[in-house]
Amino acid sequence: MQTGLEKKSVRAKLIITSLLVTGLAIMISLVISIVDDIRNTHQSTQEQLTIIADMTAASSSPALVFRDQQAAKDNLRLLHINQLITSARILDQQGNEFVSYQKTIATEQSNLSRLLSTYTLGLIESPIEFNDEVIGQLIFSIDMTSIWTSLFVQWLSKLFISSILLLMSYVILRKSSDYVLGPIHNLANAIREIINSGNYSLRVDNQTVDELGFLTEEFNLMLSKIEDRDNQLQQSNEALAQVQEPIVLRDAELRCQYVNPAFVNIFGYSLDDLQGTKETLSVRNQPGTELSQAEVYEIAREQGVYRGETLRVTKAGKQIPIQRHISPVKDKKGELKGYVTVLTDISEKKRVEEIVWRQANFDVLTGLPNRFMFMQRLKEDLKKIKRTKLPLGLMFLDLDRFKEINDTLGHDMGDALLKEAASRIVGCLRGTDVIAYIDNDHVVSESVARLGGDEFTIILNDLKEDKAIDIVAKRVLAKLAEPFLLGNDLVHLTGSIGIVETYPNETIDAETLIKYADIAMYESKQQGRNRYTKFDQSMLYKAQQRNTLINDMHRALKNNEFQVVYQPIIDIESNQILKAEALIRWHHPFEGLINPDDFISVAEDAGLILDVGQWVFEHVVKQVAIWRETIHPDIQIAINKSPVQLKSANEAKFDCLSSLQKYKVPGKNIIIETTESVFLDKNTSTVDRIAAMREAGVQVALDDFGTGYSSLSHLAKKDVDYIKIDQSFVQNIFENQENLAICEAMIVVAHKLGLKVVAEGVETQQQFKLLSDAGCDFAQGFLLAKPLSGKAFERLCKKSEESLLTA
Amino acid sequence: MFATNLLHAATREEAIKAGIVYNLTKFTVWPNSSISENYLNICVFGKQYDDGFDALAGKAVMGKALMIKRNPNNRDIHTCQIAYIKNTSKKKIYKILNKCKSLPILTVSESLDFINHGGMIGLVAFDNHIGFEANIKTINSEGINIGAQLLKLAKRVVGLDKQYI
Repeated sequence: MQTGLEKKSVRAKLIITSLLVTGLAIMISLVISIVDDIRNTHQSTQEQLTIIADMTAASSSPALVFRDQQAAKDNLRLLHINQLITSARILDQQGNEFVSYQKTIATEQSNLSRLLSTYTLGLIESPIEFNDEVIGQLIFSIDMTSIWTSLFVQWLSKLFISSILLLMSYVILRKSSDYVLGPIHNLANAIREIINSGNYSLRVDNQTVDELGFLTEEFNLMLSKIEDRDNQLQQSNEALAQVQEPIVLRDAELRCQYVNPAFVNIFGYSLDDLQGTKETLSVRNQPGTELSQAEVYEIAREQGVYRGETLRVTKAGKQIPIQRHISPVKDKKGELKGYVTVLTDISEKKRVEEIVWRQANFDVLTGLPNRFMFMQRLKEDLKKIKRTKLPLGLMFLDLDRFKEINDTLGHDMGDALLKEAASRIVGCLRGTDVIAYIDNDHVVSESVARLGGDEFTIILNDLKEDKAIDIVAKRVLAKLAEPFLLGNDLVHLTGSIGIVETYPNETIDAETLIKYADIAMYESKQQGRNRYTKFDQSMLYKAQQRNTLINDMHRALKNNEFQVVYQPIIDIESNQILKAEALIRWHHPFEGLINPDDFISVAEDAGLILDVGQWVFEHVVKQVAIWRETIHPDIQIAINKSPVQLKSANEAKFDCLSSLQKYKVPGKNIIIETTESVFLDKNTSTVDRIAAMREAGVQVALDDFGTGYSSLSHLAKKDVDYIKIDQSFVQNIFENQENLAICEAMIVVAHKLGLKVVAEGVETQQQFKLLSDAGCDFAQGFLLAKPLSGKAFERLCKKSEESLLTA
Repeated sequence: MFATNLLHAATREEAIKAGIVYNLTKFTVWPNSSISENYLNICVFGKQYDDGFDALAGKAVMGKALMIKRNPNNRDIHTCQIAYIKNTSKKKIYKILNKCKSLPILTVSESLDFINHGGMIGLVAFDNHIGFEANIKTINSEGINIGAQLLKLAKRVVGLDKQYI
């Protein structure tokens, strides 16, 4: 009922309410009048009848006294005037009927009156007194039907009049409500039209000067203000629409009020989609700890601006990284009205950042995490084992002789090999660890990393089984040992692995762990490569020694602890000594004399060999410059250069020619001794460098000839001047005819190719005689002379005129 | 009540006549000077004693006891408040009326047309029962007042002055 009324128009409400009030008033007056009628009629009738009864009783009293029935009857007959009294009876003192009167009933009683008889019929009694003594009773039977009937007719007419009144009220109300509500209707119509058309220039006609007229005027005034503001807004909106950055306006409750076209363009949502909502297009389940909307807007409110980066998803479902600037909008009073958010698409920036990040964290060649990322990962994993209580294994893998292969086959092939090797290593991991490559732009894991060059690391987390790490190591070695097919070349490769394990109860940092793995790997190398070695503390001692040695070597270079000794080389035919092999000695201040075998390989590993080599070279050239004066201008000193030294691209550290120029020593006074692997190198710069030296007159000797490839093609190309027969042949020459045969063959071939032959390690007269007989050109060894100091060599040379052998 | 009591000795008609007289006493007001404090005397004139009046003796009307006096002599006639004259000759009636003249005595008789012959209340029979007639003039002339209500019962009222109508 109430809701029904609420839905009605004001006019209907007004009319209904007024009608209700009017109707109620009429009803109440009607009811009061009816009740009053009933009461009055009843009372007056009763009174009237009582008076009649009393009078009749009084006048009947003598008749009763005289028992004059006729008189009494006549008396009663007078009652016929009264319509209500249907019968009357007089009873005497004994209650016997003395006389009675019955009105002749003209009409039959209707059903209704019979039905109502309870209400309409009644008795009126009055005592008949005489001299204060009750002598009888007068009883009237009354029938009030006629009274009720007339009352009823009255009521009906009243009801009829009331209805007419109500109807008239309704008509008047309708008219008056039109009059009162007319201006309101005008207002409402105007508002509707303005809403529909958006035309705020409309005004409402004002015809009255009452409160509604005032309201209309105020409304028109408000419209003017709205129109002004609308114009301003439109200007602002047009300005906003021109901005190329997406902009969102929200009210103080964060409901979206506006988005500009740039926003619609980028995110695909129109204003209709978002208006009134608190939707932020945020990405669900976004990783990381992002601030909640409430927190973000609180920061904006309190600090005047919020800046932050986040992800937003477009209608099409595409995620866009954006930067948000949220500023609160306040009115003149400083009250918060809303927020303006400027969103900047930072996809490009993110992409660049991603690339930078990728480059910073990943190896471009293999796609594996690089050293930087590996270190982070290892540090995290080390923290994690405190929780997991499971051991962690770290493998350090170095490909064996990769440099040689790289040099032999070229860098492109080397890179292809590294790529293939990397994927083989990854393929060897346990199921849970096949996580070390980039998949769909997501880093699955960083368990395998390439530290650089041919060094790889493998982190094995959660080692539940003791042998798991051994299994992986064996598998990796086996996989690497399988031939690689690179283009048309079939390449064989091995790896050396160092393993270190750490347990949750240990405290060890990442750097130390890597160092240990490296040491263990070094041990594998030392043990002969293609194997894995687990780190133990004894290796640490060796490594420490090695480190000490390296450190000492640095110092030794500065402090001139190195010494060059010269092992004379005799011309077998002339018995003259005009050649020597320069050999390095290290006089360690505490350790004493250290053998080259004990530190050259370390120096090679540590990269110190170039410095040492350069020092030796300079030292020798300086000496030769003197000896050219003091001994002989044709003196020739052989200097050992390992392939590592010769291959080095670092020109500054191996600037032989400039050293020769510096001391004005011709190239012919210097022989470079190296091994034939130098010539296997496809790196042309090494060959070029040797060619350049030979151009300058420097001669080249192939050391350790016969133990390696013993490639005759290099000899044929005349890249060398000498071959040095390895001492392993020379020392057994007397008891092994085969060795003699080899030596003879080598000498013959060399001579045929125009090369001279030097025999190394000649210790006995017999060896010397056999080599001499075979036609060997030069010999060196303890039989002739041990390595000598510069001064001793000088003396020896001067004596050599007097024939060494006879001396 | 009294009707039944009166029936024991007299005839029903006699008893009714006595009852009417008795009832008349109830409606009649006599001048105070002429009436005793304790008694109301009903004087009955006639030879016949076997009537209903003896039954009335001792009854109380308006606080006074009824006394029945039969044929009182001339000296005592002024003590009567009601003189009931039984049916007799006109001559005798006149005689008794003359004795009562100028005395506040309500004269009642069953003789025909009594009220037109100087009497006050006449008893008449009609329609099988007995009623009465009254002569207001003679009643009022002696200072006796009978209630207007009583007059309503009267079958015939004479002697009405125009002033009463």
